[in-house]
Amino acid sequence: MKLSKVTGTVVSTIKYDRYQGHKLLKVRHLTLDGWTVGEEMVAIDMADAGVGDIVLTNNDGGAAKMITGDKEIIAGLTICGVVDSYTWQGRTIQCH
Amino acid sequence: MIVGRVTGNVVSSNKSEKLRNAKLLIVQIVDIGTMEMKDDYLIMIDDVGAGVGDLVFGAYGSSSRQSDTSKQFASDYTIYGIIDSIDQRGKRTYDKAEEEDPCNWQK
Amino acid sequence: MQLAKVIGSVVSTRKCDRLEGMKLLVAIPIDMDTFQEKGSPFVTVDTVGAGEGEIVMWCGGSSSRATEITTNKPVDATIIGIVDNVDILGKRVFTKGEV
Repeated sequence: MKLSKVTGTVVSTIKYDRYQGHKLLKVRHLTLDGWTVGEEMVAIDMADAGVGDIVLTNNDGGAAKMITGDKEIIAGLTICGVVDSYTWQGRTIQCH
Repeated sequence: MIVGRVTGNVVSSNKSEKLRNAKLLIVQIVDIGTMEMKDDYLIMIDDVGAGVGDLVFGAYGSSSRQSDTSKQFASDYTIYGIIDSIDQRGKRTYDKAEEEDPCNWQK
Repeated sequence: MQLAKVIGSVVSTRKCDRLEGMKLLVAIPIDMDTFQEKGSPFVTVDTVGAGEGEIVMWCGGSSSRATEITTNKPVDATIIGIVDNVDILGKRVFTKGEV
């Protein structure tokens, strides 16, 4: 998993059947000192996250099947938790 | 297998059922050629009782859900061992017992 | 499958039960054109009794759990063969023992 920041929402009407009912969010990875890096990505939200939240994103298809509870789903990034805080190199960073 | 240094942990109360009771550690990747710690990191699920400062190894992908404890978690990276020593080209390049201060960032 | 050269080993006492008895080796990727080391070393599990200095074949991902020794084991890189020689386009480009 990696830390990511939710930067927006994604609306899609015509989508893969298995994605019906799932909320899609736009995320970017986060460095440990809090900077967003890399490209914007779309993730399935399974943790009721909102824009601005720092979240845990899982990047494994098998884990996505477990998190969504759908053994047939084909997914990449999944938001599996909203981060309250993290401690890194002795510093605690509050996320909301 | 991934090798890295545990430098922190993550707290998340609102998370997937499939991560309940999972210990989430911040692991910064270590290049074992140079033993240099990189800025690049991963949040890994701990399977062995690792702590901050430990040099650990782990697996990614479906291999991260193969042990009796890790298979209950929706993990993509899992810590499977704490490294005691590494030998390369006839030389000991890492020895946990002789390491002075793995948490030297706290100074 | 990819080629790598074994350059060392890793010792871990506290590890996952399922890894008990496994030999962890350090290997470095080998460039197939020059047979020189290329990139950063990595940790892998040995299933064939490879030793330091040998050129080996390894595989990653779920294929690394396809050997009898690594079935259902939390392993993502496995050494699955020791390379004796490599021929490319009718030419012997590598022979074990000759550097």
